[in-house]
Amino acid sequence: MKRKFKASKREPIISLINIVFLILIFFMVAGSLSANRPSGIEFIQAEGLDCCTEDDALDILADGTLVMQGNTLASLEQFIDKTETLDTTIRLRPDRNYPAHELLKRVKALKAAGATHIVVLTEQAS
Amino acid sequence: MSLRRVRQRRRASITSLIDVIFLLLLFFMLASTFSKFSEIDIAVANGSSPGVGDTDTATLSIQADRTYCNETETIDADLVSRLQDLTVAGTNGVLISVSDDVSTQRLVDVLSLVKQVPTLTIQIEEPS
Repeated sequence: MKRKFKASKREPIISLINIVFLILIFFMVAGSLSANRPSGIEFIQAEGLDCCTEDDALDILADGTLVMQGNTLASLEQFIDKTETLDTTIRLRPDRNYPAHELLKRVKALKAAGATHIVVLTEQAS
Repeated sequence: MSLRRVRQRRRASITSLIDVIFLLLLFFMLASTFSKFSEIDIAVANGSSPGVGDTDTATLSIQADRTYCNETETIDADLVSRLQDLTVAGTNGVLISVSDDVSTQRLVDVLSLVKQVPTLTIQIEEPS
């Protein structure tokens, strides 16, 4: 009788491990590890654009602060100095509430510095 | 004696296995993100806004709550069909200007609508 009790106690533990393993594998496969993103940024939502692109970009917060890979930049000139070549695609990821004319001013400054292809990153809605 | 000892060791290893799996699970749940990013071109017109006087360029003036297409107020739902009509009439470019109160979200919303008419070249008027 005692042996039977012990055997029935073990079963839920093994099924628990199975389920936890399943959830673990789901998160490992479906999720991607993110580089540290600035807190408080709301990405632009858009539908129907071609998915997907690299998410390595220059973040622009709603108050205009520039953040590159977790480091706050003092000015756009600092970004231009840090970037080796402006001939490649320059990725900007502004906050959705950032004023558009401010963004266009920054794009204009980047173009004046020699950037040829500037894109804005949008988060896939849905 | 020896048989009992082996059984006790097996039980201990299962518990620590669960511990490690739970730790891994927690790490991946907290560290992973599911957001995917797309990109949209943003091309600012060079010089002093070329194409304003051209008959084959439409002007699109974006304000916070309304859009004017060739000086006529157009709601977002009608914008694509209106641009397609203009394309049939010979228009091949759009010059977009934004007012000061327009957010980036609004600009991208309109840009993605204009992009649905692939024959149009998009230019955005640079801010003064």
